[in-house]
Amino acid sequence: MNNKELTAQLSKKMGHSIPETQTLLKTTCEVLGATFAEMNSLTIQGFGTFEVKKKQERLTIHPSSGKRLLIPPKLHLVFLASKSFKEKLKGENHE
Amino acid sequence: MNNKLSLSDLTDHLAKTANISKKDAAIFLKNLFETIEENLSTDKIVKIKGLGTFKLVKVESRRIANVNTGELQEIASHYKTSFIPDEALANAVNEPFAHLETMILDEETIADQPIVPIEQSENRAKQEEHPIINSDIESAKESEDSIDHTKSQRRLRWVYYFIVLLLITSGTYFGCNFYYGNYATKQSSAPQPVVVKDSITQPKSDSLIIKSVTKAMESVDNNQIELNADDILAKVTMEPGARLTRISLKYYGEKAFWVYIYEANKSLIRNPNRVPTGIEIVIPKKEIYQIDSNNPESVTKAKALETKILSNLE
Repeated sequence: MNNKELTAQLSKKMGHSIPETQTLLKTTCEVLGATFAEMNSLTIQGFGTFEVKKKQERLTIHPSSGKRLLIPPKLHLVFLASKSFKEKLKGENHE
Repeated sequence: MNNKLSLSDLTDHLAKTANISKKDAAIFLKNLFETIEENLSTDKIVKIKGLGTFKLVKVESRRIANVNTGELQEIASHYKTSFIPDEALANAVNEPFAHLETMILDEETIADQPIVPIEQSENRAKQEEHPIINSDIESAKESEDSIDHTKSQRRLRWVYYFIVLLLITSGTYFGCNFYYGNYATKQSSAPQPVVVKDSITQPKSDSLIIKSVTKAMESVDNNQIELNADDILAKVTMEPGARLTRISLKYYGEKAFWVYIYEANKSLIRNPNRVPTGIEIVIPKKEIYQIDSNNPESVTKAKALETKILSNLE
């Protein structure tokens, strides 16, 4: 499912027009982006948690050239599904 | 910074930036996450521009051993969620570390010593024609002694200790490599009486092993007589990292049937958990063992055989 289908479905559900939903979705994503850029974590009940985690710097050796590389630390955004969401997925598999 | 936010905080933010009432924002967000969840279950993938991609990834069923009791347990196949943030978002999140780049480390900074042992171990490899570990270690000790004198004169003791350590490890490593390499090739090639004669002059433990190797070679020949050419589905050469379960999945469509491949090649494979590389194994035809990946009975039979084989190993 892509962005277009999502906006279409959302607008249908809420009774807004598609452009309206589109701008609202865009702002939401911007707000979310700003939240995560400040290294905040966000928990949404019944869905999951967005969290910014730090990956430590590490040493690797390039497989073909054999050079030693130092990979710098990195911040990355992770999403952890909530327990209820996981249970739901499990339940569907059994059917 | 580093705050834990909830949905209500997000609602406030959104209401402010989008100039809508909090009630509307709450309804919108609730619907948004509900829709994502629903569609993720049905479509397995949801892409949102500016945020990222949610995906459901299938995890194959696998077996694990209970750490405390050692019992085998089966984890059923299931889905797990994965989220890959949009590139723009990922970059925004990584802003504090964005200026850092991957560095190439100079060889001078870390690796002054490893260069020496590599040369020496290469020389050693040329000297060693016999694949026996014992004689290897002896020759390693001799060369260590000769290095000992020169190095102690220079009073560079720490260098010496380091090199000795490396020599011992590289010596045993090469010895093992030689031994196992020859072991594998012996198994696959036709029996060579000359090799066996040589081995009789070697210490007892070595000749014992080689005897067992020759035994294995004999039984290989027997085995190939048992399996006619018509019964063979394919022949596979074991490469490093190859697994019987993978081969089984490829040819039979189910991992559990690896036991039959093992049965057909029993003389070549002593321990199915450690299959020697380089040997050529035979894949028997499905009909011989009534292999049918769509038939649950056939699968359970294979699994029963699997537990039997694994318990015999212990």
